[in-house]
Amino acid sequence: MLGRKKSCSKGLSQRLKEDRISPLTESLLCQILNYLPTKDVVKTSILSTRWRSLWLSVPRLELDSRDFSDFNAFVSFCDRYFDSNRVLCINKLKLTIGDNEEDGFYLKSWIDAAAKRKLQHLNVHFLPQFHKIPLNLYKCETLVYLSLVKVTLAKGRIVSFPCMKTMHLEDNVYPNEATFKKLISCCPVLEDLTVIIYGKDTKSFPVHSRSLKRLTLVRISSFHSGAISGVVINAPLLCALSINDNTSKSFIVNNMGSSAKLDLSILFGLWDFDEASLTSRRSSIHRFLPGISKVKELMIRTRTFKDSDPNSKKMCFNENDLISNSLVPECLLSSLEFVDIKSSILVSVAGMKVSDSNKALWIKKLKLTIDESVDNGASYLKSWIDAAAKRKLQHLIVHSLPHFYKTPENLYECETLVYLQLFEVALNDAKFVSFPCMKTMHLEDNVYPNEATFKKLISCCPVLEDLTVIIYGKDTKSFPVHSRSLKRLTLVRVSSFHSGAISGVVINAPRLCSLRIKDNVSKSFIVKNIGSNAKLDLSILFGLWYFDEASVRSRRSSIHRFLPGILSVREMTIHPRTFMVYTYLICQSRVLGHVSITIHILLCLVPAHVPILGINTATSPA
Amino acid sequence: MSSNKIVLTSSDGESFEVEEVVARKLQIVGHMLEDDCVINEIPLQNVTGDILSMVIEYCKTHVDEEESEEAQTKLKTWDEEFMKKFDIKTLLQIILAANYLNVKGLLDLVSQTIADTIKDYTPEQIREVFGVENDYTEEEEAEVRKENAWAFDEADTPKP
Repeated sequence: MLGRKKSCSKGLSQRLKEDRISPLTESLLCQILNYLPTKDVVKTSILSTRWRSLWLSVPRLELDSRDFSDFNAFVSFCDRYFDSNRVLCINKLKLTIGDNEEDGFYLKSWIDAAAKRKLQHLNVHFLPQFHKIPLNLYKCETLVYLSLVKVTLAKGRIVSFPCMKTMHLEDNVYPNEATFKKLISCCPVLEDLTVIIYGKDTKSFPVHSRSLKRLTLVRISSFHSGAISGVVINAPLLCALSINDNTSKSFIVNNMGSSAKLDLSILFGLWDFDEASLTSRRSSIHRFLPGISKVKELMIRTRTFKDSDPNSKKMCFNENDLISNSLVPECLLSSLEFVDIKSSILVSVAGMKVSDSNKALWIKKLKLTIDESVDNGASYLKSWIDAAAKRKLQHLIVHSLPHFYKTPENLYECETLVYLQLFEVALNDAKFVSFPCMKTMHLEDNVYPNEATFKKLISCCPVLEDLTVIIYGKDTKSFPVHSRSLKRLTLVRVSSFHSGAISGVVINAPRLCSLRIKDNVSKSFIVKNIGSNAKLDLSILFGLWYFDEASVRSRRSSIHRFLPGILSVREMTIHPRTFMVYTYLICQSRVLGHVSITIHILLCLVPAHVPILGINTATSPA
Repeated sequence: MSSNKIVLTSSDGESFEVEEVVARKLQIVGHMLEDDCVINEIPLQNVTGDILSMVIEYCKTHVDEEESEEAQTKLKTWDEEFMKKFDIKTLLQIILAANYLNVKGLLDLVSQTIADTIKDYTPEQIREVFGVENDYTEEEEAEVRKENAWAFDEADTPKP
């Protein structure tokens, strides 16, 4: 612990005056300047003669040739920096080189000089054309970070980067495959690699690394010149892989970390999605899937094409054929614990597989996002849910966007469900519902065939504790909540247009300890039963859109019936507009002298917990 | 972890008793301990008590640097708050101390903070911070401006 003996000392301010000026050595000044942009560093040359050349001693240079009046000025400025022998080590060199006639030869002496000074961090970005980077780049043995953008690489003889941890290779020109391979293979401790290839380069870019942990591959072409050979990855320590590719024909993952995270946006080089094209990729897909069967998290997207390609619908349709031809090996999903499917191809692929396979699988968590690109979404859902129900699914999330896909009846047979989230789906008429383990339900913006289905959904969950029901728009059904086990309830019923207030909310939940209601449409709220120490958070308008005297008065009986139900609560938050309705009513009632019970209740409730005019009220946009 | 205590004494005679692991964050102390492991009182000639107490506060917080992202973020937030306490003069005192005591993390942190502070200063303000006297003749100054013309854009004319 800090033991501090006070002893008399000179005043702090006096000491500061004495000490401040002299002792900052050149190396300390450079240590500070190292954190300033090069331009600001160079500006300090104006301070005094001692500072005139200080910038030459700063171990970092970040320049953009476009900041200079002409290219020669840029070159001669850099020459000055590298010719000076003041810096022993250069930490960082970042050059953004704009349009010029030279082809990168000037870089040679700079890189030589930087290599001698143990350069660690190098960025070279050519704009807009590809220029050559001299061969001596390969001699920068001390590099830890290398970023090359629009650079033409030379055939490398000796490549050795024993310290390299991170490489960003974007839109470069490689003389041949061997150079690319060597660039990677000679980085024994490489952990992060990004390779971005645009346009028509048809070479393949295999990634083999024993140390690599994170890999991002982007290969996008905006024109189709025939699919190119393919991607091969062999990286046993890989824990994050992201591929966005619309050109490669095949993807082979030979080796990869067993708990990797995948984010894939791949099209197997297809531009047309007719049956013949798809069939031609059958073997590619066969070879790809085993490689990723061990991953922990998988996300597949179709976004690459979704916006631009009018064929996307067709593509999905044909994926269906693809699946029915049973092209997918069984390995997929065999060890996935969490499946997050965003693409039609996987919905169909995996759905088919799971439902067909007799192998005992155990799926804990399943998330299905079905979008408009999925034809036949309902049938995929059915097969998925069937399969999952057999495999004791606990956690199910179904999002259908933006269609309201009908959930199959078999949803109601998933007896092992503990968590259910349904978003924008159309539910079936409930014939038999039983969720003996269900603890949490989130029902958002769904379509219910009738009130009975909604009621049954809740009444058949004997251990339900958390329930969220969100209803938008003009659904005029009432959604009564009766549950003996429910502890937390959130009801949201918001409509942006007014089509007459709807019947109302009825809550009967004796163990409820937290109730949140946000509602601008329901006319009445009846809380028949609620836990005695409940917390309330109310933003309710009793279906009023106008707050004139007549309107508010018309809700008097509603409020009368509502308030007794919430008498026993412990904490209450009332949002401003709700409060407005109450206060208006109190005023009215004073005048009218009728609704004494309302005043009484509000006087009991409000002053104790919502100090004068609701300091405790939450603010919401009025 | 050793619970051995070490007393650090500042140039103005203030003494601080700290755990050995904390004291070792000052590399100057680390080296002394390696040379002769029985020392338990170390005089530090070039740093005053006020500044030394700041350095010790930093070292205590950074004594076991964890790898986890959460811990890193927490430390970073602490660093930012810690630096906010000081004016530029104190920062210069701390950078001298961090350099002398050889506390790499603090040296980098203070350097960054000073750089951020002076980034938008006029040359005159920077001169004041570092106690620099402009010893250029007019001709020389014009020459420097010409030499590094690219860095002195239109905005550079000294602000009032």
